[in-house]
Amino acid sequence: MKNHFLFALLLLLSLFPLGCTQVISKQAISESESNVYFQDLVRNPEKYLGRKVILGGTIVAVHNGPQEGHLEILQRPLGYQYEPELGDRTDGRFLVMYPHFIDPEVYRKDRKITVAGEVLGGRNQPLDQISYRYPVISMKENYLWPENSYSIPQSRFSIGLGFFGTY
Amino acid sequence: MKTHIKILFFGFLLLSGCTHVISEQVLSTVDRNLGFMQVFESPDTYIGRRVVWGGEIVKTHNIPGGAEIEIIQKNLDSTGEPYGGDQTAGRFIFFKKGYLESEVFSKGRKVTGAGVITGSQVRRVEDQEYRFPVIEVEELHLWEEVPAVYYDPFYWDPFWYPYPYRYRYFRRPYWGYPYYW
Repeated sequence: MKNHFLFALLLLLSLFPLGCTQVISKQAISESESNVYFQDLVRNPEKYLGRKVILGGTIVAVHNGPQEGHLEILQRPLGYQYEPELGDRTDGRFLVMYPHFIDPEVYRKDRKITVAGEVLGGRNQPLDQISYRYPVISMKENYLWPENSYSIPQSRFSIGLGFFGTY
Repeated sequence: MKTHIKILFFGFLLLSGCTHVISEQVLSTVDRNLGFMQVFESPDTYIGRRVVWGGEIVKTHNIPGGAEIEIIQKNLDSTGEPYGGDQTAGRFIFFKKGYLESEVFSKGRKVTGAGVITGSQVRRVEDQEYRFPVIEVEELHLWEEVPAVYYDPFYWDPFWYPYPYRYRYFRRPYWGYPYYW
């Protein structure tokens, strides 16, 4: 009897860490509109004013004002768990407004980030010698992806003959 | 039966031929004998001539009406890919209409483009005046970045080694450069 209980407990414990890391809260996911495409957002940010979106990409630059800050992000397509995919596919850049200081040593260039927020509109800003129209979103939730990781570390549960080894 | 074999045979021949990244119709209009050195010496005498050039990006800059890519020239192989390590005859500029994302067309990436020589521009590089031939590109190919991925040498090993062995083997000089501890 006691053995059974221990066994059940062990089984439960072994299952526990399999739960996926939460990148963006369930609430933010359910509120966000998956039918707002970034290509359309870039072309006409005002049309999507107030809409909730989840976007991601890699950090281009950090700008801090006296009390607030904003991130300039190069948009990337999102994959599993809203992780930005590396590669050359992008539909442009966008800005994310933070109500507080953003540490440039943490939010370093080229780090992957996923943000949930509300569309605030568009803003023209100089880029090289042209003026670039950035869609602007507010930051409600963000997730900075660990460096040099291709996905969230997750346990791989497998039973086999060991033909493919353990990775 | 015989026709099947023929189709297969020629099919393989077609598929195995390496194709150039620049389209056939643009390639046919290009002056392949015009060397980079010649143009580099006196770019303005070759205005209007068409070339396929490539190399490594120094920087990408967006200007009104288009984008400029500053490139370190490299020789191209039969598929149009720049190669040759440090061998270069100089720098040049690709001009392309429209916006180019400088975070994608970033430093160190390889590009190949085909277009028309439109002249030259003198700019300062470090403390020297440098004359860049300018090519307005019609077709541009960005070569995929090959990431330095380290493969676990035990990945295809049919046996799983318990902890101390896995790492002991890595320490052997046999595995060479990307040490893993």
